[in-house]
Amino acid sequence: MAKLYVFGIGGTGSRVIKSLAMLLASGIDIADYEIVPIIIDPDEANGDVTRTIDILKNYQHIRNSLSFTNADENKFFKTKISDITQNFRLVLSDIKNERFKDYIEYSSLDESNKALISLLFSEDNLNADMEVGFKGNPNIGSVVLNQFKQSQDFKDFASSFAQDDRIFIISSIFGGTGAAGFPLLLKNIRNADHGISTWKYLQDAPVGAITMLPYFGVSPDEKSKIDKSTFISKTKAALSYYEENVSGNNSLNVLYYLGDNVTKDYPNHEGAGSQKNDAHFLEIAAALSIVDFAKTANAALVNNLGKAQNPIYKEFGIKDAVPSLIFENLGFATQLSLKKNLTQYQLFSLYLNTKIKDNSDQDWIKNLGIQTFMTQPFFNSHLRTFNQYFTEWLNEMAHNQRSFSPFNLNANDNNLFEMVKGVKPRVGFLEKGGKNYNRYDYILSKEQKNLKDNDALEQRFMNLFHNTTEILVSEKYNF
Amino acid sequence: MNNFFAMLYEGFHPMDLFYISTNDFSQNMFLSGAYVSIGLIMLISSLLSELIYYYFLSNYGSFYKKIYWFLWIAFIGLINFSIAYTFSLSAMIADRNIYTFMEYFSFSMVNVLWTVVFCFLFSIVFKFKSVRASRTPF
Repeated sequence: MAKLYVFGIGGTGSRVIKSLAMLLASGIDIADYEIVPIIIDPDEANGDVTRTIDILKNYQHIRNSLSFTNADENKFFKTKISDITQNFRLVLSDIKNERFKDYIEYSSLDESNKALISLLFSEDNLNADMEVGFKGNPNIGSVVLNQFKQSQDFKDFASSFAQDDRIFIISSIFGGTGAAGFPLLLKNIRNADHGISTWKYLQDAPVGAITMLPYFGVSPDEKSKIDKSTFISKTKAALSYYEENVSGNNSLNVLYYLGDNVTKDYPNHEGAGSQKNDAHFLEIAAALSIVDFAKTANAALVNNLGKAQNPIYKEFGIKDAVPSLIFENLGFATQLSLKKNLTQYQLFSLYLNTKIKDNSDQDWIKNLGIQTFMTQPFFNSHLRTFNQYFTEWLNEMAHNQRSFSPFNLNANDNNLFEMVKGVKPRVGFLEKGGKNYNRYDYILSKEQKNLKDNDALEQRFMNLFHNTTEILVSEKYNF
Repeated sequence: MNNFFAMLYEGFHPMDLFYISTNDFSQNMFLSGAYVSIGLIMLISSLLSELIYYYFLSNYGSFYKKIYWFLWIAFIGLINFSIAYTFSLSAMIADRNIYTFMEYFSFSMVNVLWTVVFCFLFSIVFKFKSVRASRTPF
C-alpha cells in the first residue's frame, strides 16, 4: 500500500490532521493510501498537538483491532494511519529551553555580524524563548527550522520514502512556525541529501500543500508577542516569498489556498498547553484538500528534476456565504464527500455516547455478548475516547466563526432523526421498530443476525454499526 | 379431536388431573362437544398471539421485554378464560345441565393453564426468527 506522508506544521497543521483523522474515522475514501502524519512543532506541550496525537493513537488502537478485506463491510477507520516517528512528531533538537540568541550563538559573533543580526532580528526576537515555538515570527522559524536535514526523524522519513508514495504539507501562512517551515521543508525534500538511497524518489515525489490564509484572530494582549494586526502583512510577505520560491519555481505539484474573511478571536496564548484552539470548518476543508490530492491522477503529478511539469493551484468555495454553515450551504462535491460519512459516524457516536449503557437488555446486545466487551480497552478506552473527541470537534466547529453546524447536537429520544439540519427525515407509515432510537434498535437487531459468527467481536461490532447507520442514513435522508 | 382435547382438559386419563366429577361436569362437557371449539380457539389464539407478539408487537418500543411477554400471555389467558367460561356455560345450559360457578371457573382455569403452556411452546418456536425478541423470555 502506497503511503501519503502528511506534514502538519505548527498548531494549524495539527488541527488539520485532527480533522483528517475524524474524516477518515467516518470512512471517507482516500484512494487506499496509508496515511503517515508527521507533526512539526517545536512547542512540545502545545495543546493542539497533544490532543491530535492522542486522537491519532486512539485511531490506531481501534484500527489495529479491525480488518478491511473485501468481505468486511465496515468502513469506519478504514484508512491505515501509521507513524515513522515517535508520537507522530518530527523532533527538532537543540531548541528546548533555549533563547534564539543562544541558538545562533550571538555572543560569540564579532561586532559586524552582531550588527547584521540586529538588522534582521529585534531585541524581542533575540530574547525569544523557543520552547513554545516562534510566537508568530517566521524570521526566527526560518533559521531554526533549517535544521530539518540534520534531524534523525527527517532522515528516517527520507529513507522510508518509496517510489509510489506522495507528500502533503499543511501550514498556515500568518503565524511563525508554519509560514517558515513550509518552504524549508519543501526545499529539503526536493534537495534531499544524495547520500540517502531514496533521494531521487524524493526529488520527483508528487508533493501537494495547503497554505492557510488568516481564518482566525487572537484577542489583543499587551503581554503576548502575537498580534493579529500583523497577520495580513505577514501573509502578504510570505505570499510574495512563495511566489518566487514555491509556486514560482514549480516545486509543488498542487497548491491549495484556503482562508476566510469571517473570523473569531481566540484567547491569546503564545503556546504550550493553553494553546488549544477550537476546531474550525476550514480545517475540514483543508483535510478535504488532502483527500483531493490523494485522488489526483499520477499523470497530473509528473516531476522532472524536482520541478512540477503541470503545477495545479486550487481554491475552495462554499455555495452560500452564511455565518453558520450546514451541509446544504456547501458545494455539491463537498456535500457528496461529507454528509453521508459524517452523518453515519455521528449516529454511531450518539448511540455509543448516550444509549448503549442503558440498553443492555436489547436483543442485539445479548446476542452479540458485548457486556464484557464494553469494559475492555477497545470500547471502554479507545473508541469511547475517540468518540468524545469527535463530539468535541463537532461542538467546537458549531461554536466557531464561521460556524459549521450540520447536526443538531442535542438530538434525543424524541427527535433523533431530525439531527441533520436542513434535511427533513423521511417517516414511513408504521415503521417497524417505531420512531427514533426504537427504529435504530430495530435495525441493529435485524442486522446483528446477518453478522458472520467467525469474525472477532470488535469486527462484528463495527460491521453492525456501519451497516445499521448506512441503512438509516439512506432511509431517512437518502444520502 | 374431542378425545384429544378431553385428554388435555381432563388431565390425561387415567391420572385425570383436572377431571371435574361434580355432577359429571367433565363427562357432560365431553358429550356436548364443547371441548373441541374451546380447545381449537385456545390453540389458534395462542398460535396467533405468539406470532403477533414475536413478529409485530415486540418490534415496537419496549415490548420485546420479558415483562410485556408475561403481560401479553396473561391477556391471552384472560381472553381464553372468558371464552371457556362462556362456551361451557352455553353448552351446559343448552343440554339443561345445572352447575355452580366453581365448575365453570375450574374448567376455565384449566383452559388458561393450557393457553399458557401452548403460548410458551409457540414462543420457543417463534422467538428464534424474531428481530427484537429472540431472547424473550430467555
